[in-house]
Amino acid sequence: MSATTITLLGTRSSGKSTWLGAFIDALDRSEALRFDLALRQDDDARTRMQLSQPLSDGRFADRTPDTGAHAKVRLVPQGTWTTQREVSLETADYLGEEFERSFERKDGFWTRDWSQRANARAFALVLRPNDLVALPQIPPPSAEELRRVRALFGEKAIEPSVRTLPFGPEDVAPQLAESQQPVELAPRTLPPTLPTLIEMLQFVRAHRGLSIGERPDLRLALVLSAWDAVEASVQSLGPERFLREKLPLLADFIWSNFDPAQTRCFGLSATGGDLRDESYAEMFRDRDGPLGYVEWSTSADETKRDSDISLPFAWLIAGDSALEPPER
Amino acid sequence: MPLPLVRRPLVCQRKGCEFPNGGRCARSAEFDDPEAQCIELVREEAEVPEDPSAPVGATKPARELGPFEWSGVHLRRDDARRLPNPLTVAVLGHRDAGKTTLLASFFLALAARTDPDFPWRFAGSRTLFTFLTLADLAAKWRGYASSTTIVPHTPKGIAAQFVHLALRTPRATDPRVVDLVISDVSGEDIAEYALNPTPDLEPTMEFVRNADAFVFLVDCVRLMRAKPESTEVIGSAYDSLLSNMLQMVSNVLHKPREQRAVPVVAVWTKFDVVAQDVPPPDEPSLDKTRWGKLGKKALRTLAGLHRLRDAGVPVSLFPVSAFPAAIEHARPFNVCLPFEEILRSREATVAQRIDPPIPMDLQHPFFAMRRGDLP
Ligand SMILES: Nc1nc2c(ncn2[C@@H]2O[C@H](COP(=O)(O)OP(=O)(O)OP(=O)(O)O)[C@@H](O)[C@H]2O)c(=O)[nH]1
Ligand SMILES: Nc1nc2c(ncn2[C@@H]2O[C@H](COP(=O)(O)OP(=O)(O)OP(=O)(O)O)[C@@H](O)[C@H]2O)c(=O)[nH]1
Ligand SMILES: [Mg+2]
Ligand SMILES: [Mg+2]
Repeated sequence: MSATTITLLGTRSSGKSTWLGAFIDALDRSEALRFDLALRQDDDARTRMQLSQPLSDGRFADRTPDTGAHAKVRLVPQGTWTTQREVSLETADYLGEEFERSFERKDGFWTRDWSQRANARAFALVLRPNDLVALPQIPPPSAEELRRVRALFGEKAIEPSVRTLPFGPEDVAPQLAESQQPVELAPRTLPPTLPTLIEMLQFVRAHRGLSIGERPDLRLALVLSAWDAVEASVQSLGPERFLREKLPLLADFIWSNFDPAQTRCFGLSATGGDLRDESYAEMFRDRDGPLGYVEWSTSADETKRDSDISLPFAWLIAGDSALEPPER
Repeated sequence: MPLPLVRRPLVCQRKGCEFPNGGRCARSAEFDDPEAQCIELVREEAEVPEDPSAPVGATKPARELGPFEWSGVHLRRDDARRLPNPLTVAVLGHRDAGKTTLLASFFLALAARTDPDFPWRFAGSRTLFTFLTLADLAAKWRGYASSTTIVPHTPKGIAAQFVHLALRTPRATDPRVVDLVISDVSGEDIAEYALNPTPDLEPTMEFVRNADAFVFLVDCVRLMRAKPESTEVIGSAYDSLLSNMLQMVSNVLHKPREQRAVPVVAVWTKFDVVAQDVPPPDEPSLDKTRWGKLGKKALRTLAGLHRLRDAGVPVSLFPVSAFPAAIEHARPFNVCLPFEEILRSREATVAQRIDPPIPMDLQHPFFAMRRGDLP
């Protein structure tokens, strides 16, 4: 029987290996998962041990080497599933690297593996908020500046017809506007994360014959990894508002090109904390139950949390019913 | 280095450029580092590691884009034609008027959604690489005290090039998407064509005749400048050149064409420079008394805009500032408004995008994929 493929897309160091590793570790430890899945026993065990071993040792995986091999974890649904189809979680270990090269050259990198992954039934887009390469950004006007505009031109100046934004005395003459100390821009070798992800989704869509704006019948989860490491004030926005407010380009792209009812944003903490912190790592090794968690926003904009880090997979397969509290 | 992993550019579209062959960059006066700064260099043939799975000796021909139809850099006319629902915006203005800077600033505003009132939503782009390159250069620019330009001059004498932004209507259930195809053509070519439309410029300038809308740039700096720098035309002479360029627009619009309104959105660019002296009116206006000193300097241009309006062309005029200072101090204003105006006046004609019906009987994996039942 053919498997339902879920492709994990993400730039390098976005948290793909940690998620898969922690998930396999949770299966090994028989932690309670909402949906019962078992690893296919006849598969080569090395891949999954490579993924889970660092986690059971209480450390993060090393950077996945760019060997061209891609991780594939096959799962067999157990009792509670209505489907008997196998589930195959696929990621390319060289994915991060390939992504960044994609702007430069689009042929060579689009391999058969890629075509196969592009045909997946569902996608998880993995993004680590603390590790984004940002687009250059023009700061939005502050409240003080808006006040100044009102003083200069009256209330009407900021009406939509002519949205005149501030140019206070220091901004008027270009010569004056120049800051005296040149600001050091961090040297950058990677293109910004969001356009990279968007270009990759455009390839996937073009490969599937979708035109721009056509919303296909497939699920897309945006997974914000290392959610525990995100600053508390930002985390409290909840995943959905985080997407809308902090990643508008991606939010608009997803909204425009995917069925909003089949799109969801999750905050994921695969490990519950930073394993580079030795005392946390020790606690992690000695844990009795899960420390990782997943958060998502309800339609009422409340944030829900669950300790089952496989929930995004379950949602990708079964939809919103996967997020309802288990029966019994 | 901001440009992503470029190794060896091979082709420059510009006549006389020897840089790809190890010679001189045709624009060496402007670029310290052409490889990093020139966006004309075609990078598709850049040296990249071989695909180990490819058979030995099987090298791909130039400009083959694999399974995709876009390279991420500027679109040429033919690429633009392949888009399903193009709305071509001709951005007109003289050299240095601020055309390319406006495009870069518009993209940045869209990406960060700094203009919450711009109602259209980003749906994709076939020219992300160009936008990223422009955004990168603009971000590194250290302000008007520095000697560098915000973005490189668009070279003359090359084929017309375009940037692309797909935008979706803001209503959730509205399936309409528009492919905004915006010209980024050299001001020198545009000005030359307006003065003397010789046949050799036809291929480059063809987009003017096929435009669905115009953005017409009036450069405040040139208009207000008292003493010319080098040979540039300023003040009333510049005003005359502008009215001549408007005449070109008028000629194009009065050629018989299918019945459709082609809006002309005129903008004062670099308005930050005069903002202190010229408080802008609350709404778009062609009334010269509303524009203070500027109005007095641009009598012919304003008259030309009036003539267009009298002939039934939708015309508006308002100020824009795309890059008033280095990025961390910049407070651009109205950079989305030209495109918002165009989309507003054209919204009714944005074609309904009907998703093609999916044949249910075909077994080909392509169709299965589109039905969503693969694998
Ligand atoms: N605090 C915290 N950090 C995490 C978590 N998951 C990932 N990280 C951090 O993110 C880094 C990268 O995670 P990986 O899982 O290796 O990322 P990847 O996507 O597999 O990266 P490549 O293999 O390089 O493509 C880790 O080294 C951690 O520092 C998490 O749940 N919590
Ligand atoms: N003060 C001010 N100057 C600007 C602004 N936008 C552009 N400029 C200046 O105008 C110069 C030229 O801008 P470009 O965008 O390259 O002009 P262009 O119309 O594309 O010119 P060509 O490519 O030569 O046709 C920039 O390098 C800036 O010095 C603005 O908003 N304010
Ligand atoms: Mg990895
Ligand atoms: Mg230009």
